[in-house]
Amino acid sequence: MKKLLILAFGILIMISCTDKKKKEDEKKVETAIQKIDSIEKNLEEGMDKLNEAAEKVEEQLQKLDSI
Amino acid sequence: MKHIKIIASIVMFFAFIGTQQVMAQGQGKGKEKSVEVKQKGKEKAKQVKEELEQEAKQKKEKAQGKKEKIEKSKDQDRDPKLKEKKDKKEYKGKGNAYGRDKNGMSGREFGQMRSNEAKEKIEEQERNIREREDILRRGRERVKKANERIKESREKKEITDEEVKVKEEVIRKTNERLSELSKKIEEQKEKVKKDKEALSKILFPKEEK
Repeated sequence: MKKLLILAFGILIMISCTDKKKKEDEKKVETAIQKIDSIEKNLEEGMDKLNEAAEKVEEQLQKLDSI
Repeated sequence: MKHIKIIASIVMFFAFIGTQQVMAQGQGKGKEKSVEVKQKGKEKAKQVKEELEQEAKQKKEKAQGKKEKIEKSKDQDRDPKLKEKKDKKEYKGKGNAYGRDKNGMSGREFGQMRSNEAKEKIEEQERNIREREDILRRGRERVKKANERIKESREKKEITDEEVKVKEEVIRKTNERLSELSKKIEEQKEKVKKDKEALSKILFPKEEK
Protein backbone atom coordinates (compact mmCIF):
# COMPACT_ATOMS: atom_id res chain seq x y z
CA MET A 1 0.00 0.00 0.00
CA LYS A 2 2.77 2.37 0.99
CA LYS A 3 4.70 1.60 -2.19
CA LEU A 4 1.59 2.28 -4.24
CA LEU A 5 1.13 5.65 -2.60
CA ILE A 6 4.74 6.61 -3.20
CA LEU A 7 4.40 5.57 -6.84
CA ALA A 8 1.23 7.61 -7.21
CA PHE A 9 2.83 10.71 -5.74
CA GLY A 10 5.87 10.20 -7.93
CA ILE A 11 3.71 10.14 -11.04
CA LEU A 12 1.87 13.26 -9.89
CA ILE A 13 5.14 15.13 -9.37
CA MET A 14 6.37 14.02 -12.81
CA ILE A 15 3.19 15.29 -14.46
CA SER A 16 3.46 18.66 -12.73
CA CYS A 17 7.13 18.97 -13.78
CA THR A 18 6.31 18.26 -17.45
CA ASP A 19 3.54 20.84 -17.35
CA LYS A 20 5.91 23.40 -15.85
CA LYS A 21 8.47 22.80 -18.60
CA LYS A 22 5.80 23.23 -21.25
CA LYS A 23 4.72 26.51 -19.71
CA GLU A 24 8.33 27.71 -19.59
CA ASP A 25 8.74 26.88 -23.29
CA GLU A 26 5.57 28.79 -24.11
CA LYS A 27 6.85 31.76 -22.16
CA LYS A 28 10.15 31.66 -24.06
CA VAL A 29 8.29 31.62 -27.39
CA GLU A 30 6.12 34.56 -26.32
CA THR A 31 9.20 36.53 -25.24
CA ALA A 32 10.87 35.76 -28.56
CA ILE A 33 7.79 36.95 -30.47
CA GLN A 34 7.77 40.17 -28.48
CA LYS A 35 11.44 40.74 -29.29
CA ILE A 36 10.72 40.20 -32.99
CA ASP A 37 7.86 42.71 -32.74
CA SER A 38 10.13 45.32 -31.22
CA ILE A 39 12.76 44.69 -33.92
CA GLU A 40 10.14 45.15 -36.63
CA LYS A 41 8.90 48.32 -35.00
CA ASN A 42 12.47 49.66 -34.89
CA LEU A 43 12.93 48.84 -38.56
CA GLU A 44 9.70 50.58 -39.53
CA GLU A 45 10.66 53.69 -37.58
CA GLY A 46 14.09 53.67 -39.21
CA MET A 47 12.54 53.32 -42.66
CA ASP A 48 10.23 56.26 -42.02
CA LYS A 49 13.10 58.47 -40.83
CA LEU A 50 15.22 57.57 -43.82
CA ASN A 51 12.35 58.18 -46.25
CA GLU A 52 11.66 61.54 -44.65
CA ALA A 53 15.30 62.61 -44.99
CA ALA A 54 15.40 61.38 -48.60
CA GLU A 55 12.24 63.33 -49.44
CA LYS A 56 13.77 66.52 -48.06
CA VAL A 57 16.88 65.94 -50.16
CA GLU A 58 14.78 65.38 -53.27
CA GLU A 59 12.90 68.64 -52.69
CA GLN A 60 16.15 70.53 -52.19
CA LEU A 61 17.69 68.95 -55.29
CA GLN A 62 14.73 70.18 -57.35
CA LYS A 63 15.39 73.70 -56.07
CA LEU A 64 19.05 73.24 -56.95
CA ASP A 65 18.17 72.25 -60.50
CA SER A 66 16.12 75.41 -60.93
CA ILE A 67 19.04 77.75 -60.19
CA MET B 1 -5.93 4.08 14.07
CA LYS B 2 -4.76 1.39 11.69
CA HIS B 3 -8.17 1.36 10.01
CA ILE B 4 -8.19 5.12 9.61
CA LYS B 5 -4.81 5.00 7.90
CA ILE B 6 -5.96 2.30 5.50
CA ILE B 7 -9.22 4.13 4.73
CA ALA B 8 -7.37 7.40 4.13
CA SER B 9 -4.94 5.65 1.79
CA ILE B 10 -7.78 4.00 -0.15
CA VAL B 11 -9.65 7.30 -0.47
CA MET B 12 -6.50 9.03 -1.73
CA PHE B 13 -5.83 6.24 -4.19
CA PHE B 14 -9.35 6.43 -5.63
CA ALA B 15 -9.21 10.18 -5.72
CA PHE B 16 -6.00 9.98 -7.71
CA ILE B 17 -7.45 7.41 -10.13
CA GLY B 18 -10.55 9.59 -10.52
CA THR B 19 -8.48 12.64 -11.38
CA GLN B 20 -6.43 10.65 -13.85
CA GLN B 21 -9.58 9.41 -15.61
CA VAL B 22 -11.01 12.90 -15.81
CA MET B 23 -7.71 14.17 -17.19
CA ALA B 24 -7.52 11.31 -19.68
CA GLN B 25 -11.07 12.03 -20.89
CA GLY B 26 -10.25 15.68 -21.20
CA GLN B 27 -7.08 14.88 -23.07
CA GLY B 28 -8.95 12.46 -25.33
CA LYS B 29 -11.34 15.19 -26.35
CA GLY B 30 -8.57 17.73 -26.34
CA LYS B 31 -6.36 15.52 -28.48
CA GLU B 32 -8.98 15.27 -31.20
CA LYS B 33 -9.43 19.00 -31.04
CA SER B 34 -5.71 19.68 -30.92
CA VAL B 35 -5.11 17.41 -33.92
CA GLU B 36 -7.78 19.33 -35.82
CA VAL B 37 -6.41 22.66 -34.71
CA LYS B 38 -2.87 21.58 -35.57
CA GLN B 39 -3.92 20.49 -39.05
CA LYS B 40 -5.82 23.73 -39.57
CA GLY B 41 -2.86 25.66 -38.23
CA LYS B 42 -0.45 23.92 -40.57
CA GLU B 43 -2.74 24.57 -43.54
CA LYS B 44 -3.03 28.22 -42.58
CA ALA B 45 0.71 28.48 -42.02
CA LYS B 46 1.24 27.05 -45.51
CA GLN B 47 -1.24 29.52 -46.96
CA VAL B 48 0.39 32.44 -45.19
CA LYS B 49 3.82 31.24 -46.36
CA GLU B 50 2.64 31.00 -49.95
CA GLU B 51 1.06 34.44 -49.73
CA LEU B 52 4.29 35.88 -48.34
CA GLU B 53 6.32 34.25 -51.10
CA GLN B 54 3.96 35.63 -53.73
CA GLU B 55 4.15 39.08 -52.18
CA ALA B 56 7.94 38.91 -52.10
CA LYS B 57 7.98 37.88 -55.79
CA GLN B 58 5.65 40.70 -56.74
CA LYS B 59 7.77 43.17 -54.79
CA LYS B 60 10.91 41.93 -56.53
CA GLU B 61 9.28 42.28 -59.93
CA LYS B 62 8.04 45.75 -59.06
CA ALA B 63 11.45 46.73 -57.74
CA GLN B 64 13.12 45.55 -60.95
CA GLY B 65 10.63 47.46 -63.09
CA LYS B 66 11.17 50.58 -61.05
CA LYS B 67 14.94 50.26 -61.21
CA GLU B 68 14.77 50.15 -64.99
CA LYS B 69 12.56 53.22 -64.97
CA ILE B 70 14.90 55.05 -62.64
CA GLU B 71 17.88 54.23 -64.80
CA LYS B 72 16.03 55.58 -67.84
CA SER B 73 15.15 58.79 -66.10
CA LYS B 74 18.50 59.36 -64.42
CA ASP B 75 18.47 62.97 -65.49
CA GLN B 76 15.34 63.65 -63.57
CA ASP B 77 16.66 61.93 -60.42
CA ARG B 78 13.18 61.36 -59.12
CA ASP B 79 12.33 58.49 -56.80
CA PRO B 80 8.71 57.37 -57.27
CA LYS B 81 9.18 54.63 -54.70
CA LEU B 82 9.01 57.07 -51.85
CA LYS B 83 5.35 57.93 -52.25
CA GLU B 84 4.31 54.44 -53.19
CA LYS B 85 5.96 52.96 -50.14
CA LYS B 86 3.96 55.22 -47.90
CA ASP B 87 0.71 54.05 -49.47
CA LYS B 88 1.59 50.43 -49.19
CA LYS B 89 -0.31 48.66 -46.52
CA GLU B 90 1.89 46.25 -44.72
CA TYR B 91 1.09 43.65 -42.17
CA LYS B 92 1.59 45.04 -38.72
CA GLY B 93 1.84 43.20 -35.43
CA LYS B 94 -1.15 43.53 -33.18
CA GLY B 95 0.80 44.58 -30.11
CA ASN B 96 1.67 42.04 -27.48
CA ALA B 97 2.22 38.42 -28.38
CA TYR B 98 0.18 37.39 -25.39
CA GLY B 99 -3.40 36.63 -26.26
CA ARG B 100 -2.79 37.35 -29.92
CA ASP B 101 -4.80 35.40 -32.48
CA LYS B 102 -2.23 33.09 -34.00
CA ASN B 103 -4.52 31.72 -36.74
CA GLY B 104 -4.60 28.31 -35.09
CA MET B 105 -0.80 28.02 -35.28
CA SER B 106 1.32 26.86 -32.39
CA GLY B 107 3.39 29.53 -30.67
CA ARG B 108 6.57 28.16 -32.23
CA GLU B 109 5.15 28.13 -35.77
CA PHE B 110 3.78 31.62 -35.33
CA GLY B 111 7.10 32.82 -33.93
CA GLN B 112 9.01 31.40 -36.86
CA MET B 113 6.60 33.00 -39.30
CA ARG B 114 7.10 36.37 -37.58
CA SER B 115 10.85 35.81 -37.59
CA ASN B 116 10.78 35.22 -41.37
CA GLU B 117 8.72 38.36 -41.83
CA ALA B 118 11.22 40.35 -39.79
CA LYS B 119 14.07 38.95 -41.91
CA GLU B 120 12.26 40.08 -45.06
CA LYS B 121 11.81 43.51 -43.54
CA ILE B 122 15.51 43.72 -42.78
CA GLU B 123 16.28 42.85 -46.40
CA GLU B 124 13.81 45.51 -47.53
CA GLN B 125 15.48 48.07 -45.29
CA GLU B 126 18.90 47.12 -46.67
CA ARG B 127 17.57 47.67 -50.21
CA ASN B 128 16.11 50.96 -49.06
CA ILE B 129 19.46 52.04 -47.62
CA ARG B 130 21.25 51.19 -50.89
CA GLU B 131 18.72 53.27 -52.85
CA ARG B 132 19.18 56.23 -50.50
CA GLU B 133 22.95 55.94 -50.85
CA ASP B 134 22.44 56.20 -54.59
CA ILE B 135 20.34 59.35 -54.10
CA LEU B 136 23.08 60.76 -51.86
CA ARG B 137 25.78 60.05 -54.41
CA ARG B 138 23.80 61.62 -57.27
CA GLY B 139 22.88 64.58 -55.08
CA ARG B 140 26.53 65.29 -54.35
CA GLU B 141 27.33 65.12 -58.05
CA ARG B 142 24.57 67.61 -58.78
CA VAL B 143 25.85 69.99 -56.10
CA LYS B 144 29.31 69.76 -57.62
CA LYS B 145 27.93 70.59 -61.07
CA ALA B 146 25.89 73.50 -59.67
CA ASN B 147 29.02 74.88 -58.02
CA GLU B 148 30.88 74.67 -61.31
CA ARG B 149 28.02 76.40 -63.12
CA ILE B 150 28.05 79.27 -60.61
CA LYS B 151 31.80 79.60 -60.84
CA GLU B 152 31.66 79.75 -64.63
CA SER B 153 28.90 82.31 -64.76
CA ARG B 154 30.67 84.41 -62.12
CA GLU B 155 33.84 84.38 -64.18
CA LYS B 156 31.92 85.33 -67.30
CA LYS B 157 30.09 87.93 -65.23
CA GLU B 158 26.73 86.61 -66.35
CA ILE B 159 25.23 86.94 -62.85
CA THR B 160 25.33 89.57 -60.13
CA ASP B 161 26.81 89.10 -56.67
CA GLU B 162 23.34 88.94 -55.15
CA GLU B 163 22.30 86.18 -57.49
CA VAL B 164 25.47 84.34 -56.58
CA LYS B 165 24.60 84.68 -52.90
CA VAL B 166 21.10 83.26 -53.42
CA LYS B 167 22.44 80.36 -55.41
CA GLU B 168 25.15 79.65 -52.86
CA GLU B 169 22.51 79.64 -50.13
CA VAL B 170 20.54 76.98 -52.03
CA ILE B 171 23.71 74.92 -52.39
CA ARG B 172 24.50 75.31 -48.71
CA LYS B 173 21.01 74.07 -47.77
CA THR B 174 21.29 71.17 -50.17
CA ASN B 175 24.63 70.23 -48.63
CA GLU B 176 23.03 70.36 -45.19
CA ARG B 177 20.23 68.05 -46.26
CA LEU B 178 22.68 65.71 -47.91
CA SER B 179 24.80 65.43 -44.79
CA GLU B 180 21.62 64.82 -42.75
CA LEU B 181 20.70 62.02 -45.10
CA SER B 182 24.21 60.62 -44.93
CA LYS B 183 24.07 60.64 -41.12
CA LYS B 184 20.72 58.88 -41.14
CA ILE B 185 21.96 56.29 -43.60
CA GLU B 186 24.90 55.50 -41.32
CA GLU B 187 22.58 55.29 -38.29
CA GLN B 188 20.24 52.94 -40.12
CA LYS B 189 23.11 50.78 -41.29
CA GLU B 190 24.19 50.33 -37.68
CA LYS B 191 20.64 49.67 -36.54
CA VAL B 192 20.01 47.11 -39.25
CA LYS B 193 23.24 45.37 -38.34
CA LYS B 194 22.23 45.21 -34.70
CA ASP B 195 18.70 44.08 -35.51
CA LYS B 196 20.07 41.36 -37.75
CA GLU B 197 22.28 40.11 -34.96
CA ALA B 198 19.46 40.24 -32.43
CA LEU B 199 17.17 38.34 -34.77
CA SER B 200 19.74 35.63 -35.37
CA LYS B 201 20.08 35.20 -31.61
CA ILE B 202 16.38 34.58 -31.12
CA LEU B 203 15.83 30.85 -30.90
CA PHE B 204 12.63 28.93 -30.45
CA PRO B 205 12.52 25.84 -28.21
CA LYS B 206 12.18 22.57 -30.10
CA GLU B 207 8.65 21.23 -30.47
CA GLU B 208 7.95 17.99 -28.63
CA LYS B 209 6.22 15.25 -30.61
